[in-house]
Amino acid sequence: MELGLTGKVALITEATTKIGEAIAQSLAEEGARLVIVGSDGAELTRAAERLKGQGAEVLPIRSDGLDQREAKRLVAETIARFGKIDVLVLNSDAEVTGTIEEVPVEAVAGLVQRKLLGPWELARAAAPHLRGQESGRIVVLISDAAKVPHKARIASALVGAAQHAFVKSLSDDLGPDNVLVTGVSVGHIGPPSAGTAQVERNIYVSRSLEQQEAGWAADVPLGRWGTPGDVANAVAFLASDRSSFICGSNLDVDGGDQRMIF
Amino acid sequence: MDLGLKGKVALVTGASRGLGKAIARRLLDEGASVAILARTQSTLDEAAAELSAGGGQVMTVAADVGDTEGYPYPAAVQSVLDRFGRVDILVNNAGTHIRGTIDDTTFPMLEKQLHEKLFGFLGMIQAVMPAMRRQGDGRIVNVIGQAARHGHPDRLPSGTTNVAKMALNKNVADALARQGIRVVAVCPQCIETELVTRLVAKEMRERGVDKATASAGFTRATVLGRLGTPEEVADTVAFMASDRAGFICGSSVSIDGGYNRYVFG
Repeated sequence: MELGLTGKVALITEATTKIGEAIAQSLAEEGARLVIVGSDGAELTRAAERLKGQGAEVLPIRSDGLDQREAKRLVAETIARFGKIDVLVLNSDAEVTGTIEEVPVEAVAGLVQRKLLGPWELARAAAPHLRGQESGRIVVLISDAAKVPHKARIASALVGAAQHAFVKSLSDDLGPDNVLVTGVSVGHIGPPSAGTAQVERNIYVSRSLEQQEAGWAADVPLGRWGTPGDVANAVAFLASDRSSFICGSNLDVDGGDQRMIF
Repeated sequence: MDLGLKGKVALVTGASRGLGKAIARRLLDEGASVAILARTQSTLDEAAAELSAGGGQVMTVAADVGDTEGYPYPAAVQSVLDRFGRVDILVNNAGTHIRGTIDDTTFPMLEKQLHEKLFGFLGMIQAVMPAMRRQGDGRIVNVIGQAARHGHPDRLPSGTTNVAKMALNKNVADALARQGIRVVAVCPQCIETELVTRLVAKEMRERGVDKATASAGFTRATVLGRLGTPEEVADTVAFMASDRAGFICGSSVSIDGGYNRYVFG
């Protein structure tokens, strides 16, 4: 399917995380020109060189792209280099886990910063350009905790729910100018590692991390963890010309993990 | 994006016109062989001639998925297996949209919707399951109108039935995923199909207004200020049925130009 992304300019935040880099890769394969944003200089250089090696045109910007003070600069540098911006991928793998006693308000504020305020300012800085060209896409990556919270993911649930509200309301604002805003709700993406695994359901308490990981895979209808590529494919489709009547929608990429009917 | 659909076999119900025909065309374009199913052989033949003009293998299956007594589902699938040897994709799309209020909805009206859309979907799923299980791979896309999500006083038969289809979608997705069969839903609304054209014509007739005025109710209601095309829905169906949607299971994606303003659902 021709996605119509050739020559389009896409800015991706946290583009050196597993999911961020997979999104950059997918968009590059479709011919998009990339602005990859990341705060780790070495990682950013590595990702940029890898993508360039595959023939992609890449502008790496070293920045914490989700610090709202950076938004204007990121969009300005994108316009300076490519003359336009077509796709904004608001990606962050920030998560805060813990019970109410464990999570101080500063940690919640940090998550609000990365998942809401930073994206808000980036969308605000990009909006005039997107509206002006009467075409554009904003794709927001949202944790599955937003719709199915567990007891130790209160902060992620709270902020994720707000992200869904952001997607829907922003889509109503920008849609009349043919700027389509959508969400991708991301389930367990692997491969799981002991470093990222968390005890989050009662049935896993007192089990080893390996047992928890196997248990999670068994819980998911598709019987496996997702890959960063699974998420990237969904983002590429929603960023494309082929999603031209999808406005304000959310797409769950979770292997069937979320059981609610609506 | 290579959807990985080349050489796959798709069975699309309600495919002699509108959404179903556009879905069949898109899957053909992606290299799939397509069986189009509808009630009337003559309209199927016309659609098949039109579709195959663009290349690709098209077969017709004349069957009424709402005929629950006749139970045409196994024979319909068997005819696809006889011709193509396998069935990789089922697109459950057939179904009318019956409007009615609490005052004028009769049991037969609701029964007709349930037979066509709920039992029809279920019958087709049950009929393709054995082949998909043997293959260890299958994709089922249920097309479910947004009347499932948004209550209208005059859409009792269709809305009630579509909600049941959403439950069917989620239940079956969970049941079949471990066997390599992915089940997903695509939820359109405000699409320029024959159905909407008929509704616009009715408005023009009953209110004595021109087409632009009669259509305004539909176009103004969407964020994008226009109706969607069957081709746009077909693009989404093709993606959801593809190898590129391998971790999408039980999900439903709204394609409605922003018509429904709900944050969740």
